[in-house]
Amino acid sequence: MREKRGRARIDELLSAYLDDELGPGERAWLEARLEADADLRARLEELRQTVALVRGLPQVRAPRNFLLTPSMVGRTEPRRAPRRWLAPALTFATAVSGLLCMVVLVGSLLGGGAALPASAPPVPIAGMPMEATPEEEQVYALAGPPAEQTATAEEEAAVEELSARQWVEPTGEWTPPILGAEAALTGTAQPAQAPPPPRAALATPTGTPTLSLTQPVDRGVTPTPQLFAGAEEKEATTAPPPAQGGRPAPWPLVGGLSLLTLGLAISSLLAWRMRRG
Amino acid sequence: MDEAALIRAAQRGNLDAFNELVLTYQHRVYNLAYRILGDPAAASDTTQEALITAYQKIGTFRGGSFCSWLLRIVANRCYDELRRQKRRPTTSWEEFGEVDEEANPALVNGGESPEESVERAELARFLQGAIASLPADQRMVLVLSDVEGMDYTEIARTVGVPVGTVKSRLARARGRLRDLLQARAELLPRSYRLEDRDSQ
Repeated sequence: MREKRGRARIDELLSAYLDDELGPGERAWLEARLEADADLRARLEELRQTVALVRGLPQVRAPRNFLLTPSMVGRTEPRRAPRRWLAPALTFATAVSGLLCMVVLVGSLLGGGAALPASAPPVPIAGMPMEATPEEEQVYALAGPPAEQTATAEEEAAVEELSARQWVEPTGEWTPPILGAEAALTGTAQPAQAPPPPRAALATPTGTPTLSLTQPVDRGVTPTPQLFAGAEEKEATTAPPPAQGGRPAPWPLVGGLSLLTLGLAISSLLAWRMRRG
Repeated sequence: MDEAALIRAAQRGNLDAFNELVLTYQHRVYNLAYRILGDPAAASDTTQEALITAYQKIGTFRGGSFCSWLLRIVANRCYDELRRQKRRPTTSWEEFGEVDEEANPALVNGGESPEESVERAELARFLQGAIASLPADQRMVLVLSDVEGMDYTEIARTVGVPVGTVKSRLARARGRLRDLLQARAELLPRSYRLEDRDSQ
């Protein structure tokens, strides 16, 4: 056992000697032994030839190329990078659009024009001016006391125009005239059949029945969502204004936002699926 | 583009640049895998996996010899493969030696006579079989030292063992290989027949 272990130790020294990996002390000791021992020299030579045979092995050429492809290294295509933020962005846009739609809808149903965003652009309607013309303003300024339920056809047209303006311009600026108009209308037994007050009455509601701001206002019949689409626009351009001077909800805006929300939701869903797929 | 520029480009994720390095070193990488594993198919698989690993880790390369760095990765992959194969029965000395020359055309030197070519191919098969019959830890160290020419320190770092262990494993591997060669001396070229030289 000891002899075998000693032989292994000698082989280790011979192997390291061939590689020039012996320390000075070990090298000197081994070289002295090699000088004196012929068998040891033979073993060293056998080992040297064995190593030479292994080192002389030809280099084996690769049987094929080992070029890497993007799929091998798990790299995504460059075009896919934007998709990582596209899905969350679409989701956020959907949420914002839906929220905006709800705000507009609830605001209009509650009758609070102020609930609408101040920056919401007015929806243009064919044939309806978006801003008050100088002539209209002059009419308001020169108007006298309100007439006593003697509206002419011209006055009816003026009120119709006013209702349309209020309809497309859902801000609080037009509230006093509307309230005045409603107050004038509430003085009749059948508001729906009563002719609207003249424009002058809308501008200067003095002498008319007063209406407190806290008093509930009958906004008339509110169109249902099913009536929105094309019928609403038709109503705005051809039909008379809503009865009792009510403020119709901005259905085109609500409808547009609904469609936008739906489109964004679908896009968002597709984007998430593409991102995961 | 020189090697340093290719490495920098590969570190920035340029796969084409890395493939240029692959083309440069793939034969050496495959050769190391083949000598350690002793099987062309396993060597191909391991080479491909090692190159993928190298690409994924090239950001950790901090200079020095890129070839040595690459060979260390290959050696480690081979070591993993050998450990995985450890449960399999070891190839016996009598069963080894069936290396497919067509899969390894470099084993045949085109400048030799047919007899010399056959003799050389037979010697290469013989040696490869002898190496393949060594225990995995000894084979690994022998190939890294005598095929790849690494020094003991580099081998120790690659295999993850002390230099003293490298020294003893290499000595045992060489001693065992010497014994195998002496047992089949008739296959060796005349100049390598140790007993002939001993008898003279």
